Amino acid sequence: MKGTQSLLLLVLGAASIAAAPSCSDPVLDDAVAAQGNETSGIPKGPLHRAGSQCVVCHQEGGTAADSPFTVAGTVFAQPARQIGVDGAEVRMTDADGTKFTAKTNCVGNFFVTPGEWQPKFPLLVEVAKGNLRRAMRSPIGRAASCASCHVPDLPVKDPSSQLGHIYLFASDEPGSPEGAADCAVDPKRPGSP
Amino acid sequence: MTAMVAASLVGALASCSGEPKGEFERRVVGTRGTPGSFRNNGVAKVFEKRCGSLDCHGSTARNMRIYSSAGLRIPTDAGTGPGQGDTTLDEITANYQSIMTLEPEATNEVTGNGGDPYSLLVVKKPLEIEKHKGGQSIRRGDDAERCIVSWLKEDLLNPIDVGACSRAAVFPKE
Repeated sequence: MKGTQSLLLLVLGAASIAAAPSCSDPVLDDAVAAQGNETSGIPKGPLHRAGSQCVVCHQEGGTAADSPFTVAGTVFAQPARQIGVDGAEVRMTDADGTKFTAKTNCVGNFFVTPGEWQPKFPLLVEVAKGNLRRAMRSPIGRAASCASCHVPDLPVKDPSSQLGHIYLFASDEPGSPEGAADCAVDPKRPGSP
Repeated sequence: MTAMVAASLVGALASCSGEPKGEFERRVVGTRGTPGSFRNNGVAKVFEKRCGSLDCHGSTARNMRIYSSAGLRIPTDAGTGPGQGDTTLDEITANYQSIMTLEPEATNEVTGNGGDPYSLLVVKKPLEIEKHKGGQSIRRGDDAERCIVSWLKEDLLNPIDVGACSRAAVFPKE
């Protein structure tokens, strides 16, 4: 009888431990889930998820914690079309005055690793290619992903608190790219007009 | 009848005497941290520029919520979004109320009773005297510090540092 009781207690104890909440961060889990699934046909890597909040996953505790970024984002060509701009310079200056320039790949993605630069926020940023240059009017306070504020939705869901994606060319400016021809994936973001 | 008059006179006299009230304290109040100075002397712009980006206090999730033309907007029929137009009077007023009501009693102590501005979160946080998730958004000795502190200490003898406010509002350098 005593043996049965001990066994029962053991089973109950094991069940309680299994039922206890895991040590994951529910806020981070929600943020990761909000990024959605990978686009089919685009493998994980530097060309995936253009326009997403890169540092949600690429950070300590994130699902891509093995390749963390200190700053990352995507530069698109036009305000109403999400075609990645290849070779754009993302020039950043941090609170200490240190500068770093990242370059976009053919889908418009850029990322900075901790080994390259660990900026002290707030940051000042401008994007440039050739003679074209666009500077942010406000500093980045602390968001390491551009898409934290520059959401990829077209149109944005909450126009009073969200900005559209980062773009370099206005639609009527000459030289607006149609996407790098030699890109391994389609440089146009899925769903973009 | 005579007795009644005498009694009322005694009563009237008694009401005029009583515990001495002491010297009447004369103070000049109402010149520190005023909304007019906030709006007209550039303090509002400093808060917008230094605190109000969308990823910081330009968010509905913050207790000290800061609206600005470049950040969070009060929704209007015009549908003005971040980066469009100027900061509206409603937004400036909301920012003032947000800053003042962050710590009502402590703020009243500073603006009404001459307390130390450096006792307030609105000064301690950006200078990172107290832990601030957004780091040190204002450096010690910076124009933004001089502007905000001088606004919170403003009176006839200590005018607000308008020059510091106008310099601090140009951020990033344009």
